[in-house]
Amino acid sequence: MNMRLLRVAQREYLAYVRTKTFLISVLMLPLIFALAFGLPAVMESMPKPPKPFTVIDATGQFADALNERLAALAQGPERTIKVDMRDHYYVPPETLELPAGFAARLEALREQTLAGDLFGYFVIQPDSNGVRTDYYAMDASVDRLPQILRRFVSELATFVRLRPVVGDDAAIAEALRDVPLQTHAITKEGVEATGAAHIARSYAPLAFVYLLWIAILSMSSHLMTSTVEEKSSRIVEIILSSASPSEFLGGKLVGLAGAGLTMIASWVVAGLLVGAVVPSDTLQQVFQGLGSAFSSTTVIGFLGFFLLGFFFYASLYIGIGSVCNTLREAQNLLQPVMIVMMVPLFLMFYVTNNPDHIVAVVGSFIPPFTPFLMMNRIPANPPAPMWQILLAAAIMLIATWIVIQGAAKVFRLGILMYGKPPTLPEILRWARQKI
Amino acid sequence: MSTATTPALQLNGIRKTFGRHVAVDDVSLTVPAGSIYGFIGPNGAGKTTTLRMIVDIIRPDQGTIAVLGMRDPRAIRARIGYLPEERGVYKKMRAVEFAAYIGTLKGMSAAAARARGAQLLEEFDLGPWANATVDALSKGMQQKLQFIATIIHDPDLLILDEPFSGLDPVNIEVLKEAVLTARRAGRTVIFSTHMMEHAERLCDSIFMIHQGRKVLDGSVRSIRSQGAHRAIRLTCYGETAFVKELPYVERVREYGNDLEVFVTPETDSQQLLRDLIERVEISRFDVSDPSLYDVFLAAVAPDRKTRFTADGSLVEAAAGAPKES
Repeated sequence: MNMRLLRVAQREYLAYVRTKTFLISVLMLPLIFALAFGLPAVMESMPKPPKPFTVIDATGQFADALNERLAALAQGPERTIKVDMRDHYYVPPETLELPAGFAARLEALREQTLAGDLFGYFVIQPDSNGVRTDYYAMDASVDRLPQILRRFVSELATFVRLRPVVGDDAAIAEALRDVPLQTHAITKEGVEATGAAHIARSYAPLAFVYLLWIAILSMSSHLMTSTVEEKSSRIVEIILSSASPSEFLGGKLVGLAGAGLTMIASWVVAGLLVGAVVPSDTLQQVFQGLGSAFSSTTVIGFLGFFLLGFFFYASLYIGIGSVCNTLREAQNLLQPVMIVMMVPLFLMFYVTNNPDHIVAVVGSFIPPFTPFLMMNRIPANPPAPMWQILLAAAIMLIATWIVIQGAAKVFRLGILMYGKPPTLPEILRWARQKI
Repeated sequence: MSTATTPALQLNGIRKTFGRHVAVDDVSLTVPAGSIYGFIGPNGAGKTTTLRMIVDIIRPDQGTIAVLGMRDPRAIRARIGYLPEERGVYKKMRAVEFAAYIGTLKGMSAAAARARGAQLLEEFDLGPWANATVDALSKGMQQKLQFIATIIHDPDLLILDEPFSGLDPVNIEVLKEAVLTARRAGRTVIFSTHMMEHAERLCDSIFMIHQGRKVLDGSVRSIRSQGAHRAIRLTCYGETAFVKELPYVERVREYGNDLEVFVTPETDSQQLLRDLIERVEISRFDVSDPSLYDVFLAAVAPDRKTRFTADGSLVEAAAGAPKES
C-alpha cells in the first residue's frame, strides 16, 4: 500500500487511540457489565439491616408449624427477615368474633410500621371460607415475604384439612409432592437445559448489533469531527501539498478502521477480564451463553460487516464533514443519515425473535441496513442462510465502493471550499461527476 | 535532478475559473532555479489560486505546469515545501511530532524526520518546546513550527503564501533570514505578498498579477527601471501649487509637506531643483527609481484613480487618500 496513505493512517490511528473518548468507550462496556452483575453480588454479600415482621395467627392452628418453617427460612437466603410471633389471639371460627384488644393490637402494629420500627405484619384469621391471610406494609407490593407466608399457610391449611381424612402427615406430604418442570432448548448438538445461559444466548444477536452500531458510529463521528477541524483550522492545505486527496481520505479511513478493530478487540479482552474477576454465577452463565453464540460465521461476519459498514458510513460522514466549516453545519447535514442508521436499532428486538420475517430478510439486502440486520440474523435462530450472507456482503461491497468513490469526489471539492455549505442536491451532483 | 538549466517552475497558459469568476487567466511564467521570486498583487488578484495550482491542491482548467522539470504531482510534492496563507497545525500533537509527520509525508524516514525536526526546532529557538503539544505554543512559535514543517525535507522549491502576514517584526526578520539562507543553499523561493516593500527588499524577480492576469514579470531592477515614470521625492516648505503646472511634470502626489513629483522620462531632475529653489525652502530632494508600488499602479491603473489600502486591497481612490493632480 501507499506509504503516504499508511503514514496518514498511522497518525489518525494514534490520534484516536490516544483520546479520552477512546479510553472511555473501551472501558464503558466492561464497566457496565461489571456493575450490572457485580454490584448486586457485592451488595448481596454485605450485611443487610434486618426486616422485622410480626405474624398474628388468630386461628391457633399454624403457629407452631409456621414457627418451624420461618426459623428454617431465617437460615436461608431470606435471613434478613425477622419474624415475631409472640401474639396468640384466638378468633373462634364458629362466631368469627374478634377477641378483646385485637383491633387495638392491629392499630398498634400499624403505628409501629408507620414509625419504621416494623417492616410489616401478617394476620392469619378464620373467615367464612375457612382461613384468610392479610399482609400490611408501607409498600405492600414489593416484598417476597407475603408470597412465602401465603404458600406456607396454604400448605399448612391443606394439612389441617386433609388430616381428618388421611390421618398421616407423611402420607399427606407424599400426596402433595411437587411435579417438577424443566424447560429444554433444542439445538443442533442436542438438547440443553435452559437458564441464564440460554436467555443470554437467545439475546446474543442484540449484543452483536449494538456493538457493531456503537463501533461504526463512534469511528464515523470522530472522522467527521476531525475532518471539520482540519478544514476549519486550514491544516488540510499543508496535508494536501504533501499527499493527494485520495491518500489523505484513504489514510483517514484505514487509520480509523484500525482504531475500530482495536476497540472491538479491547471489548473482547475487557469482557474476558470482567468474567474472570467478577464473582457472579449469573454473569458466568451469561458469558457462557454469549460465548456459545460465537462461531466462525459470527466472528468473520462481525469483522467483515464491521469493515463494510464502517467504510460505508465513515465515507458518508467524511464527505459531510468536508463540505462543512462547523460541527453544527455538519450535524444538520447528518440528520438524514442518522435516521437511516437508527432503523436497524428500532428493529433489533423484533428481528432477534423473528429473524426470518420478510422485512428482516429483504432489509438485510439494502446496503445501509445490511451490516446491522445481517449481524442481527446470523447469530439468531434460525440463522441467516450462508447464500444470503454472501449475497448481502457482495451487494454491500459494491455499495461501499460506490459511496467511497462519491465521497472522494465530494471531499476533493469540499475540503477547500469555505463559506456556506452546499445543499444536499449539490453534494449529490458533485458525487456523481467525473473527475 | 534540477540543474541550473531546468527552471524551478514553468507555467504555460494556465487558467482557473470558479463558477463564472475567472480567478487566473492565461498566465505563463518561468521561474529560474535558485532565485527568490515574488508574486505580488492586491488581495483577490489570483496569487493564492496560482500557488495552489502549482502545489496541485487544485487543478487548472487549462494550461500546463512543470515544477522542477516534473509533471507528476506525486513526485513534485516530495520536492516542494508549501506554507499556506491560512496556517493550521494539529493542536494535540507534540511540536517535533508535527514537523516529523509532515517530513514523513514528504518521503523522509521516521527517524530522519524526527532528527531533522529536532535540529530545526533548535535552530529556530524552539528546542525546549520540542515535546510540548502544539496548543501550548504561542502564535509566533506555531508560525515558526509551520515554517519548520515546510522546510524539514530540504525542498528544492519553497512556496510561501503571504509568509509575513501576521508575524511580529522579530519573526519577520527570522523568516527573511531563513528565505535568504534557502537561496544561499541553491533553493528556489516563491512567495506571494501584497506588501511591496517585502518584495522589493528580498526578491530577485517579481511577478505581478492583477485580476487574474499577469501584469509584469522580470527582475526587480529591470522592472523598476522599465521606463515607468521616475518619481522625485521632496520635502519642502512654502506654496507648492505651481509644481504641477511646470511643463515637464506629469503629476504630483502630495502628503502635506512631502511631495512625489513624476516627471517626463527625458527631464533632467536638476531642472526641477532649479525651479524649486527660487520659490520654496527645500529640506530633502531624493531622485530614485520608482518603487514597485508605482510601477504596479502605473501598470494596472493608468487612470490613477485606484490605490492600495493598508490591507492590500486595491480600491478606488477616495477622499483622504494622497491627493493626485
